[in-house]
Amino acid sequence: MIVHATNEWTWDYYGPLLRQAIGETLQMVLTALVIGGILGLVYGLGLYATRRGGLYQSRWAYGVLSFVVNLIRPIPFIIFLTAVRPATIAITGTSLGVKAAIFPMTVVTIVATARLVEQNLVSADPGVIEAARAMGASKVNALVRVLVPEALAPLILGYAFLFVGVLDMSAVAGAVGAGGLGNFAISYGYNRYNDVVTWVAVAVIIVLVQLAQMLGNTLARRVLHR
Amino acid sequence: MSAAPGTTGERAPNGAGADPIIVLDGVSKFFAGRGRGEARTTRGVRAVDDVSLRIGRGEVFGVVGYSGAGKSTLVRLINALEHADSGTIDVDGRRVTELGERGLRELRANIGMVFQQFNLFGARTVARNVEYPLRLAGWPRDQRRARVAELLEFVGLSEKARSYPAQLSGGQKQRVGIARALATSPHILLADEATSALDPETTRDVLDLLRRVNRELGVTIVVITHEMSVVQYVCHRVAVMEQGKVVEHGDVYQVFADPQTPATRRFIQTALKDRPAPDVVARLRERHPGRLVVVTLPDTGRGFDVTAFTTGLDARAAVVYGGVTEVGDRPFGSLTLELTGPQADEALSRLHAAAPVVDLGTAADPRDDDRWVATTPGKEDA
Repeated sequence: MIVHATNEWTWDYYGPLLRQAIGETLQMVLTALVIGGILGLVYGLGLYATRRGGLYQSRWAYGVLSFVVNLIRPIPFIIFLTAVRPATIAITGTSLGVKAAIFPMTVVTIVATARLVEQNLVSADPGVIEAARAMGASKVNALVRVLVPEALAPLILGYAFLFVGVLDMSAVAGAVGAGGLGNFAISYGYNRYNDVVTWVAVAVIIVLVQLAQMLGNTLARRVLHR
Repeated sequence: MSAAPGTTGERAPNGAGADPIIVLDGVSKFFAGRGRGEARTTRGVRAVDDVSLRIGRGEVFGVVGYSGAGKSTLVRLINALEHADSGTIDVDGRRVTELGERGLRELRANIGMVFQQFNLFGARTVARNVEYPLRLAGWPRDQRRARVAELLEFVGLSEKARSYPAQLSGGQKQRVGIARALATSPHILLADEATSALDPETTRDVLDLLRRVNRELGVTIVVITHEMSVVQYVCHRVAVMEQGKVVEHGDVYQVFADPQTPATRRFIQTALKDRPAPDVVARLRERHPGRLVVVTLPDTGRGFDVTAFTTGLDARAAVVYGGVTEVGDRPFGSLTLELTGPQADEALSRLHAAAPVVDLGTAADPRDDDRWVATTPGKEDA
C-alpha cells in the first residue's frame, strides 16, 4: 500500500525508511567523528606545538597549518561537498551515496576538531609541560601523555559539541544523494507536503543530539577529577 | 668566615670551591623583544647577565631577588629548560651547554624540580604523579610501586596515594611535587619559589621537608625565592640577584651580618624586622630622649650580656627595640638601646669595642642610620 496523503504517518511504510535513514546518518556521523576526531586531534596538536612559544615553535609551519584550516572552514558544506568531488571519487570510487559523503565530512571534521583542540590546549596550564620536560620527558611524551589527558574533559565536551555540526553536515549530504535523516525529511516530508514526516525526522535528530551531549557530559565528568 | 664557637656542625661544608656540583661561568640569557631588527634588542630583556656561580655538592644554595630579577630564568638554565646565549654551565661534570636533546633528557632525569604552582598532573592520582618520572626512566612496574610507596612515606602522604591533586591542600600538593621530583633519586633539586603560594605555617612544613631532603638524602638544593626569610631558614649560601646580575653572594650568615649592596640590605630588612625604620626611630626619639644605638649582636656563642656595658658605670642601657633570631643556625639580630646617665659615653665606647654599633644620636642631636635602605613598595609579589 502506498500512502500519498498529506500529514500522515504509517509505520508500515515509513518505519523501514526511517530505520534505514537513522542507520545511514549514524554511519556517516560516527565515521566522520571518529576518523576526523583522531586526525583532528593530531592536527590540533600540530597547531598547538608550532604556535609562538610552543615546543616546536615555527612561524612557517603554524602559518601553513592555520591557513589550511581557515581555507576549508568558511566554505559552506554544500559547496565544499561538490567542490571536492574529484578527490572524493579518487578516494572512495564514487561521488554518490553514504560513502561519498563521508570523505568531505571527515575533512571538515578534521579542521574543525583541529581548532577545537588547539583552543582547549592553549587554555590548559603549560606548567604541566614544563614539569614533564623537567623530569626528562620527550616533547611528544609531554604533549600526548601529559597535556592531552589534562585537557581531556573540555576536549570531550568539544567533541560532543562537534556532533551537532557533523549531524548538520550529514543532512546536507543527504540532500545530494547520501541518504540519511536529512534525505528522509526532504524526500518524504518536504517534497510530499507531509509535515509529520519532517517532524519525526527532527524529533529523531533532537534525540540523537541529546544522547550525544549526555554521553559527553558523563564522560567529561568522569575524567575531570576536581 | 672563621667558624665561631657554638656553631653547629650540621651545616654542609661549603666553600663550593672544593667540590662544586653546579658551575656557571659567564652565563647570559637574552629574551628578544617583539618586532623585527633593532626592536628585538631594544625591547628585549637581558634576563641573566654574565653570571658566574659555583654551587657546592650537598649544600642548600639560595638565589634571592625581586620578580623580574632573572632568578627563575637562571634556575631554568641549570636543567636547560632555557638555553644560555653565552657562557658555560657544568652540572655534575657534564657541560649542559653542549648537550643535545637526548643528553638533556638524561641530565634532567638527574635534576628534580618543584614549582611555585606545583604543576601536578590533575588528571592523575597522587601515586601516578609520583610514578610518572619512573615510567619515563623505564622502571619495571613492581619497582615503581615500591618506590612510590617509599616516597609518599617520606613526605608523609601515604594515605593520599589514591587522591587527586585537586583534593589536596597547598602544602600537600607541594609535598607531592617534592616526592615526584625526588622519584629518580636526583642529586640536585631545583625549588622555584616552592613556598611562595603557601601560607606561613605550611611554608615552614615544606621548608622543613627540604631540609630533610638535604640532610637525610644529601641532595644539593637550589632555592629560588623572593623571601629572605626562606633563605634564612634553609640556605647555607645565597646569591642576591638584581636586573639579571648577581650583585652579591656568599655564606648566608656573612651576607646577613655584613651586606654589601642596598638590594641585599633591603631583603634582609624584610626578613628581620629588628632594625627600626626611620619612622620608628622618630617615634622612639619622642619616647626616649637619650642616646639611641643599634647594636648588631656579635656571634660569640655565649649570648650577649647587655648589662656588661654599664656595670660599674653611672649609666643605664635600656632595650627599646630589636629582635634576635637564627640565621644559618646561628644567633642573629640587633638591639636598639637607649643609653642614659652621666657615663653613657663610656658605656658606648665599651659597646663599640664589643660589637658593631650604629649611633643614632639623641633626640636633641639626631643622626641617621646610614645602613637603612628605603624599601621599594610594590615589588614584593612573585
